[in-house]
Amino acid sequence: MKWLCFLLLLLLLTGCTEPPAPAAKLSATGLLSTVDQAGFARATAPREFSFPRDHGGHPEYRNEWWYFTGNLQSNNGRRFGYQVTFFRFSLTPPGSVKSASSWAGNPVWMAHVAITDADGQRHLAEERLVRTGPGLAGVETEPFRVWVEDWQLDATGSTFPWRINITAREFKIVLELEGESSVGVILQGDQGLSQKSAQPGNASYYYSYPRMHTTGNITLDGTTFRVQGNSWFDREWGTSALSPDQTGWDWFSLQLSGGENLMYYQLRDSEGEPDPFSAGTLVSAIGQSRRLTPDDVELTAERWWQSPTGTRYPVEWSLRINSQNRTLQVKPVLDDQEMDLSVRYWEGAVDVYEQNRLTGRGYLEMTGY
Amino acid sequence: MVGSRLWRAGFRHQQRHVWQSILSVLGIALGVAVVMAVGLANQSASRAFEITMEQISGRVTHQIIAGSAGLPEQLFTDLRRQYPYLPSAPVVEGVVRIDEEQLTLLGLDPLSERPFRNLTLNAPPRVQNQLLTSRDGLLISTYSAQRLGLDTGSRITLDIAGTIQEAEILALFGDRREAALDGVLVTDIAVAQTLLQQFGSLDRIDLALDETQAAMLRDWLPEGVRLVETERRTAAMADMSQAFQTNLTAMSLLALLVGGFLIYNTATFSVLQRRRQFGIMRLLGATRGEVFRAILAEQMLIGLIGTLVGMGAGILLARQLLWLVTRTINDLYFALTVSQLELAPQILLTGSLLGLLTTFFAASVPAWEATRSSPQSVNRRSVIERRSHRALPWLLLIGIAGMAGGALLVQASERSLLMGFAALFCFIMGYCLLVPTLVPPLSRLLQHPLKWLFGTIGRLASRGIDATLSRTGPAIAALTLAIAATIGMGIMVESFRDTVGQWLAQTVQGDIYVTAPHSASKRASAPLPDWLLEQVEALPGVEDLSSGRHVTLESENGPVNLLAIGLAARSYRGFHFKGETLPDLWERFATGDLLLISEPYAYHNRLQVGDALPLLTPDGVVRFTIGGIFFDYGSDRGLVVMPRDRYATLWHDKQITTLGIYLQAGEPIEPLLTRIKQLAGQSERPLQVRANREILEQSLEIFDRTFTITRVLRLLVIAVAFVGIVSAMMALQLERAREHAILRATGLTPRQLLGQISLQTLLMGLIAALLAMPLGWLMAEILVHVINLRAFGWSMPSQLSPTILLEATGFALIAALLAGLYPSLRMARTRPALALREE
Amino acid sequence: MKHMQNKQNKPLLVVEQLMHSYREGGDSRPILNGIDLQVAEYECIALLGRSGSGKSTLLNMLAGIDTPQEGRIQVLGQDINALSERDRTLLRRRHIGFVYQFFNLIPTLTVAENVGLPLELNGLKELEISRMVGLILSDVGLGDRWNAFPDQLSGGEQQRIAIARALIHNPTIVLADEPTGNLDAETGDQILGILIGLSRQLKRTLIIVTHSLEVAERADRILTLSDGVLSEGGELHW
Repeated sequence: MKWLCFLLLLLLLTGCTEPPAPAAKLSATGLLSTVDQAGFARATAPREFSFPRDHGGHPEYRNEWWYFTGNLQSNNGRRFGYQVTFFRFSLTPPGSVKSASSWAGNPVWMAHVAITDADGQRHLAEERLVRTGPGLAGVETEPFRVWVEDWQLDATGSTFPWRINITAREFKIVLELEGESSVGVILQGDQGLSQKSAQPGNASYYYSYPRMHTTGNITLDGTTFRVQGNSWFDREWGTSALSPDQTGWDWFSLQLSGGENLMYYQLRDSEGEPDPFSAGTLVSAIGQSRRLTPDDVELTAERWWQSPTGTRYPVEWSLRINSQNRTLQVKPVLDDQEMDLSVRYWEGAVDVYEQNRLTGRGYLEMTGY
Repeated sequence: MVGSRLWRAGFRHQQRHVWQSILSVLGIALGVAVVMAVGLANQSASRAFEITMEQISGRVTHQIIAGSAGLPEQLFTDLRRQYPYLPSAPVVEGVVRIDEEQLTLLGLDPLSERPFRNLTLNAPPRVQNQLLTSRDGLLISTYSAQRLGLDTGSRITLDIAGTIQEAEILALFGDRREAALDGVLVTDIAVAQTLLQQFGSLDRIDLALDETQAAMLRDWLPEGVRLVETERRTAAMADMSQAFQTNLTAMSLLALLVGGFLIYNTATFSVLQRRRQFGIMRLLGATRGEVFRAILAEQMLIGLIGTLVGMGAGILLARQLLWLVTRTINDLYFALTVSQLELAPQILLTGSLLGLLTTFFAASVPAWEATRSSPQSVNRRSVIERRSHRALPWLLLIGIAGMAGGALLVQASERSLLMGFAALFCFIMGYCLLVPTLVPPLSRLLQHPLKWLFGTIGRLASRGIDATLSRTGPAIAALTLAIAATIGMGIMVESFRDTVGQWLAQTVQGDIYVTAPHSASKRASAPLPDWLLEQVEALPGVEDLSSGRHVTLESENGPVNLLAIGLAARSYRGFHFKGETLPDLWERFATGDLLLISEPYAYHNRLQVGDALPLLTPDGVVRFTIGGIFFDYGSDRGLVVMPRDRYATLWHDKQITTLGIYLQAGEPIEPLLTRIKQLAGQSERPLQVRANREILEQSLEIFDRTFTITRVLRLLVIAVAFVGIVSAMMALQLERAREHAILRATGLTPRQLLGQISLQTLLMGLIAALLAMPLGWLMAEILVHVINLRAFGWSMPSQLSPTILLEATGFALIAALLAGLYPSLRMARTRPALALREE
Repeated sequence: MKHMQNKQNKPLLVVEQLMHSYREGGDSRPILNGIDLQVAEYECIALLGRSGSGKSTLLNMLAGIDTPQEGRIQVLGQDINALSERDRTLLRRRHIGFVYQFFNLIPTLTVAENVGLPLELNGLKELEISRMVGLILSDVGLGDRWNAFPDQLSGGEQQRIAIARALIHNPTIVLADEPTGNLDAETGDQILGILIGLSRQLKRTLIIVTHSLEVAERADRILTLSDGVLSEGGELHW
């Protein structure tokens, strides 16, 4: 009988299977955090900008992005906000991996797209994460094209207008953007060099097109809306990182009635206190830009919101420009405009009030909460 | 003490006749051990393959594959752009060697892997980064690393189709005990492409689709590319080695059969020894059923002990066999690493059950016979012998019926391998039943020469066999089976080897051959450098060249091995066709009209001369006609041959992988061999340059390696047979103690007695050997013309080798002689008077 | 276990017109040529005959082991040849005991086990068997040889065990075939005494087959088998 028991035991033991391992994820921040800065070019001094060439890629720098946000309105008054971002980050300096393989040593591209539907009170976002490989993603200058799989930003030749074509699972964004307006291109920081912390090289080259007249279609729930409005286009490239005591930032891009455009980013430390390297620009209607410093700008978080993921964001702000004695109230179109993707942050359409009157629209981005 | 007295009597009898019992135990133990070992080895190999495929396939449902050049990378980009929401991942796969071992190199894109596999995603971000950026970083399973003595940070040397590359182990994955991904190296797709020198193409695209999506995708895919279901492809691969594994199992069952016969034999003796006892029991009123159960109980105990011992021995043996099985599968079919023996409970259970069932059936016959004995036979011996002689016509009838049944099965079963084995079994059993009927005439035949040679002793010896047929009959039958098994297997392997040798000699018509060593990619062999052909042609002494391109294509029936050949004048002689070919064969072949296919290919796919064979080219499906079927023992998968020009046109591939060099008549080989080796040395990738003779030798070496496992099994069967012979003879002679005592008492000297015993056992050995020859030959015929044909698709002439027959006879005689030693020595030492006392 | 009561004085054994011949080569030699026999209870009968006279054959038939070609054998009113093989075996088990010339003990069973075997076959429990084995062994004077094996005993001792085994289950009939044939005169005499004495004591019918007049004369009744025919009395026609 004993051997029968032994046999039964054997059967039992081999019958037990291990529980399946939890699905693993590839984290972009994880990848980013491990990338060395060595071998990449750094933004140390102001440089000559030349367009349209500089719309294209700068592979010698580690990170780069093409960042579109905009407030759009349909014919029948429906309010939309949109965001389309193409991030590139390189894992190794270009040319460091010598291989004939088209997958070798090339940058990783991440694209974020989002729609805020004010009337429907909802926010939809999607992400793509690929490597360049045999043409899965990339940037070209002539003709101008930035793409991640089938999401695309392109132009005929290298001139305006630019076209954005995004088909996501739940929505579609097809837009045309005009770049030549009264404002045109603005170089941020010190002639385009935006220093992020004291260490030289911890900076990026940064320019914006703060007001791009936009027309196009947004498709949501099967319905296509003809829309128009203004977009804000930010371009940055560099090999910088946040310094250890900088936990995140709050970034404002506001398009005010009267033609003014304000950009300000506040870097925060672990206590939540503003960092001295916070900076911004105020651009007048005719394109005169003035730098904003942390002394000049006072930001107060007015209202906090807790997202379903448990993170608390200050979604309402008071922005006071001391030198002009102006206070702008920034209120979100919708509280929940959190981007819960590989990177988690809040990016959403906002309304701007001055002295309780609606005086503009814009976008607010909050990271590091 | 609890337990029936009848049972106790039986058990104690076994206890007292320890040697007999041990031999019985050994017989069944060996048989069970072989069955278990083969079962476990096969199971482990199959399971390992399954598990590895599961892990590699993960949640992949479909795959896009193409022909020899692989998929263009651009296809993947197009797919992603067209259908961004269908989960897809690019895969590059190849074969690398570390020392002697063959491993699979899997190149993946971690960013695409989430829907499919966790292999790359479970690594920490730092390692993922390294994967994506290093030139030569790999992941290896913890289990493999342990086994090979590697760790994170180890640098290893990979042999990739002859080129040596170095790589670094970035991390280990998986559990220490998990053998699931043993033999698989995982790396980034870029690294894989670099190591395998496969730029711009993928081996496949993995997908997770439902039916509608699959249909949609099929419509969109361009020509030259196929969407297949993973399950079916994996199943097709598993099939490849199935025939080989089935053959192993069958041979192991043969060993068990021999073991069973031994049990039958010893049980018969044991019962006969005690027929008086059983008579008494019946006399006292034990029913037939009670006696039957008592005998069966004690035999089952032996069977049980034997099975348990066999199980233990089987597990030990399995480890060795596993290595052999894996090596053969690697050599012949696909890369497989199994280092862990899985003690599959169902195999252990099945093996044990088989052992017990065999014992049961083997022992029930003598047990039943014992109950047939009426109690009156207690006092009479001659009744038994008369009865066993009376049974002879019945045995003859059943025996012939069995063999006829076997013949019918062969006819009726057409292609079924299992039925082929069943037919073999019927033949064997039928013949063995015939053996006792053939013993009397044979022994009478031998009586006169023996008497002439050895005098009275000789006559006694031979008459003794006939007179005690009830005991000698089964013994000789068991021996016959065992010897026949070794003869049969031996002839089969010899025939095969001879045929392969001859075929090689005929096929390899050229004098010198240049090839690139076996490729890293599973798809195509590495090509020879372009300039080689011209340069070799220009060498003085070279008369003609033949060239070939080996490649794997897709067809309706799955992957096809294709040889695109540019024939030299003499090459034609290398083809030996089976049956008729289409008229004007070579002319039409040269124009690209016709294909030639090998015999196994024709057999497996049921094709005949004149049939159509469509093949998948990059531009779509092209239909060809089969012009002839040729003999090919190079592989059991089959080969398709077409002219190289045609292939180059259709598949846009002008490369060659083999170059055959025909020298002018009278030209000495050595200097040209050296010259060509020098030329070949200039190539980037190491090339193999071999003379005709070398190729023959090396091929036969591989053949021998492949058949090592068969040889091992044969040895095991011989071991079982040996034990059987010894046990049978010993039991027989020990049982005769009384007669021997009488002989001694009547004046035979110990030496003469030894002579008589030896002679008798030798004679039995000789009879068994003589009877084994036809059976062995018959078994070989079935193995060659039925089993091998159905398993692999090869037909070949079976060759009767006198060496094997002599070997077998010698073995039988030696074993018999040894077996006779112990009883005669024992007899010599005992005083006749003691032995004369009634038990 | 109950004794068979024969209240009506019904004969225990009735043999009617038993005929049997052996085939050897082409001839048929009649061995039993119309045997008639009646045995009442508690008789001790000697069956006398030369070797080869067929007395062993007759004994086998009485035991139900052999089947006669013609004739009827009734044991306790039952025609044994009308019974199935199994029923005959059961009858034998219950009603018949054997003592043979060559002891026929099972060599791998101890004395006690050998003796107890008939009881086990008849379904008795071990405890009861032990008790009865003890009793009968002392009756035959071998109470101290429980655990010995037959090959450790002398011829006479073995035959005593055989007798014990034959009688332990209180069979209706005890058949003894040349019980002293393998023993020397003195031991043989002893054995015979035990056999006949114990049978009488236990009130069993005993049929002894022998070729020795001396042996036959110790029985109550002598029947002579000669030329296939049974006749009363001890006249041997040599």
